[in-house]
Amino acid sequence: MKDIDYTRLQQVEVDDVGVSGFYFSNTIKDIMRTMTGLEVFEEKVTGEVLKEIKQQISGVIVITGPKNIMFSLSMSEYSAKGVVSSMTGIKMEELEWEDLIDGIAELVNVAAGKIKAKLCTSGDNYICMLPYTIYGDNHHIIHKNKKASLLRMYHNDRLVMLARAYFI
Amino acid sequence: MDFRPKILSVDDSSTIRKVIKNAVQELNYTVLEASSGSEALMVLSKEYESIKLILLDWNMPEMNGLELLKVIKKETLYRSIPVMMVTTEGEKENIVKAIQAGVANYLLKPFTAEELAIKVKQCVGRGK
Repeated sequence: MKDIDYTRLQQVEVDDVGVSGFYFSNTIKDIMRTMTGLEVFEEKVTGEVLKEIKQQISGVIVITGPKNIMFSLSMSEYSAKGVVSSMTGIKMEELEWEDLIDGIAELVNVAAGKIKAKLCTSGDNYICMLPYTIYGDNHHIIHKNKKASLLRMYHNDRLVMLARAYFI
Repeated sequence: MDFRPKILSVDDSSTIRKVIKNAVQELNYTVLEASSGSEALMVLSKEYESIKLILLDWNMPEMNGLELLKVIKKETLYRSIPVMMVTTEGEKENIVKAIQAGVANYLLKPFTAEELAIKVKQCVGRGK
């Protein structure tokens, strides 16, 4: 996938499994495997399922270049503890909010780094801004009136998280 | 007194510093930590004689890793300490910049403990 087809990239949610897989899905699965040792499974998210998923902490990062992308990973406090505990070896019950905030920001930072590297293979120049974390019960990430171009759920028996990409 | 050789880990993420500490302690090193470039320079000023390797993140607020690397390589007292970049910046252009600035090795995030251990051993082997 040498040349980036931006029209296809912006419509990844529609039906293009290859493009979304190349830029996002495989990246998230890879970083989860390497950073946490956990395998996650991917699913598309319906409105009903979305309502059921607790979103208490989100890591957010913006990738800028010929196209600007806001990428986020959202999950419950329990899932975040599972992720950060697996990354650091700290027991779930010993993790503080500060650990979760830093850990989820770093997770999204590493994911964005890999996505950026794939975007740069065509010769374009992209930069990742520093990541940040939003926390609070059932918060929402909305960019004006745009719907996320990509919305996927990643899960296993210990965690559920939502990945979103907005082309802004 | 802890007489084990020391490695300085510089990363603004406490999570990554913890991951590095877990992996490097297995190799029988003591890990010193800094969350910014200025903190790293403070640690270096006190501990440079016993530091065998610096593990350096690229993307940090204020002074970034490349800027800190250049400062380290200009300072006579620190320049012989090998520096390994541990970063998400995997583009060839950035790797070339880091090599030109004097980096000894380069490790891309995400990494496994085994990958880190191999690179640490390579760097320390060719150090002071």
